[in-house]
Amino acid sequence: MTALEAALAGLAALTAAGLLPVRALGASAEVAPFLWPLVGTALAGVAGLATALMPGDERSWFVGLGVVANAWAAWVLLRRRRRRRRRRGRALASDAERAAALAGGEGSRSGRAGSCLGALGAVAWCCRSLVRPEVGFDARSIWFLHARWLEAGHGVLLGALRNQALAFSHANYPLLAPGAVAVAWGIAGSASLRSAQLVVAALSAAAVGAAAVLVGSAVAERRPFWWALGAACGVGFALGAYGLAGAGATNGYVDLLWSAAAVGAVVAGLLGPIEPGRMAAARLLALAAGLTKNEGTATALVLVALIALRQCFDERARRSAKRRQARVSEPAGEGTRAALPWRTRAAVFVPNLLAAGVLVAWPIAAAALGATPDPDTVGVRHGSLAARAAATVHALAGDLRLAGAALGVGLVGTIALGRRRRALGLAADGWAWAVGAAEVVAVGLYYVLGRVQIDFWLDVSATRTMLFPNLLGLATLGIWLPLAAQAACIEPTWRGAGISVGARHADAGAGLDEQALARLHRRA
Amino acid sequence: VRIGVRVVRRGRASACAAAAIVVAVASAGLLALEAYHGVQETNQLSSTRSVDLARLDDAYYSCLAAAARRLVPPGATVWIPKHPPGAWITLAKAVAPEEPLVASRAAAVVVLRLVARSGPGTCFGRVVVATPGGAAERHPAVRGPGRAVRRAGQSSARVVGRAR
Repeated sequence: MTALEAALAGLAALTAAGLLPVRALGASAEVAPFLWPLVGTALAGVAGLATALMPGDERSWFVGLGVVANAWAAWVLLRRRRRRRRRRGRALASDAERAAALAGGEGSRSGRAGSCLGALGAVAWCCRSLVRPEVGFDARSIWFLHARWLEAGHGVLLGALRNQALAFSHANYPLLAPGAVAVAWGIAGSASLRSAQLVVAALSAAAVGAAAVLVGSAVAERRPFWWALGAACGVGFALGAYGLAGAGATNGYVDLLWSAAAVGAVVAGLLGPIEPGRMAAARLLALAAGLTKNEGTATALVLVALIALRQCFDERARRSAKRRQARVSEPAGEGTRAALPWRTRAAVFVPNLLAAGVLVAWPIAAAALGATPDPDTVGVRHGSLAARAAATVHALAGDLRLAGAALGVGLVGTIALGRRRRALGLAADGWAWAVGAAEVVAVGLYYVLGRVQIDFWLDVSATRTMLFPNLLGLATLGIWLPLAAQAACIEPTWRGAGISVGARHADAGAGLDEQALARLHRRA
Repeated sequence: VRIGVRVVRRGRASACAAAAIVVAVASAGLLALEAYHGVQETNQLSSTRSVDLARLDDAYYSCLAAAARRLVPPGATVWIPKHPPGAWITLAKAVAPEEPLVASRAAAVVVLRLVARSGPGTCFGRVVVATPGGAAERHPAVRGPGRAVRRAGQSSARVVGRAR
């Protein structure tokens, strides 16, 4: 089996493992193709964790977990189908159903398909650089080496995690990327660095594609020019992401993988309209980001907490709007006030808590298994804390130029177009920048409190660790562009018929517009 | 008063429209710039020169790994001195996937070093050199004169040359 065939076989296995779970979790259709391999890879990462904790080899764990996940997904889908049959013929009742039905509208669908195809084309074009058979420094010494340990099974993995001689390999890094590579190697029957490079690059492309689709469809629009502009923003984001990542996008490094997945999660979960499909995509992408690298884990935890918070705020706003409506229609309105179902709270908190649990499982397991600590944090500290802090601030500020420019654009946009943005169902940029700031602070503190020579360390890693805030900036620009262009070119009649589904969903508390409801009832 | 309110409202609307144009132009400019950078980067990475350099890098590590594989008897533990750090990490990256590394010389059967050497039969000017470690006498493949480590150490340059 050639390296390409081995990579394709591995990716096919990862994609197959993610197909049904993505559908069962209800991720939006346009982003689902990019999530399939990522969810399969997350399963491979969890299989890696299981290999570390219990006897067995990673491939068997992957197959076992894949079967369990797909059986669960099949059960959920069958149950959903049965429910849908039962409901058939009835008029759509709840606001959520109305919004979901609207989301499937013709125009919106073509816009989302356009975003999906645009993103696919852009990442495929950027993957041309895979003709270069390069395995990067960290790819060789960390990710592909961990894949060898995983491939060899529980005993070897445990020994390697505790081996002081292998401390240079950052044994405590999560096992998502190595897990995926080990699955591909297991299927191929041989361990080739070239196939590992292809697998990791394809996963990065999937993460960039998912984020690009979410950016391109954030300001959903039915009229062709505007959805084409959204799709173009998605394409611009994808190309820009590869420009920012440079050689690291295709040489086995995982920085683009986790950063793009985290940006996708931010756009879907914190910036875009609150729709069930987008929330599911956000959680899955946050999981992929958090299981890839340590800074990804920290970022994903903040992300999941903020998603839960935003959902809480949204639920509260919706409930109070309903209460107001109920008061208008029936003065007593007591029944509505009492309806504060624990189910709603569970629906908000349980998935987010589960995601957080999966994210912290590896750091806890690594500590419990006695994995060698990060080599950057042991030994004598080079330089004073003040000198390290000054060097860190200087280096990070230099690498955050794009993020700074995007923040400036966002500030002007929020002041001038904040109302319009809210009306379209989009949240303020502040949510995204809170996650970005958390990552920058966490990484900055790590640099300052670390032990190794700071200038060298920053030279070799600052650009990569600052990829996430820069991509975040690129994503916010991709959302501001269609929004501001619409505001500049057309009359801001956002209660008219031409405005997106997300806007209507956001305004769901105040009720959907009459034309849309009439259309819905006709369809029902 | 009404006229004043109207003027203020119109002024605010104009300011918003101007700000929208500024935001749209700035966003489009930055996105286009980054996208162009991405296109350039991809073109540069897929150029013939870049591909050749990557192949060279790959060949270098393959050469080192092949040399180390010939030098280390099956099942033998390996120690690589940490000084100089560049040589240590380069050799560790090549050797770690294949051979079991240990943290001390005393526990190692074989000690591997990366040494600069000119002439043919090297991995781009470097050779892997093996010497017995602290545990060499306890390892069956190394025990006795003329066995693995010594033999391998003598033949390193030849092996490296062939691997290349």
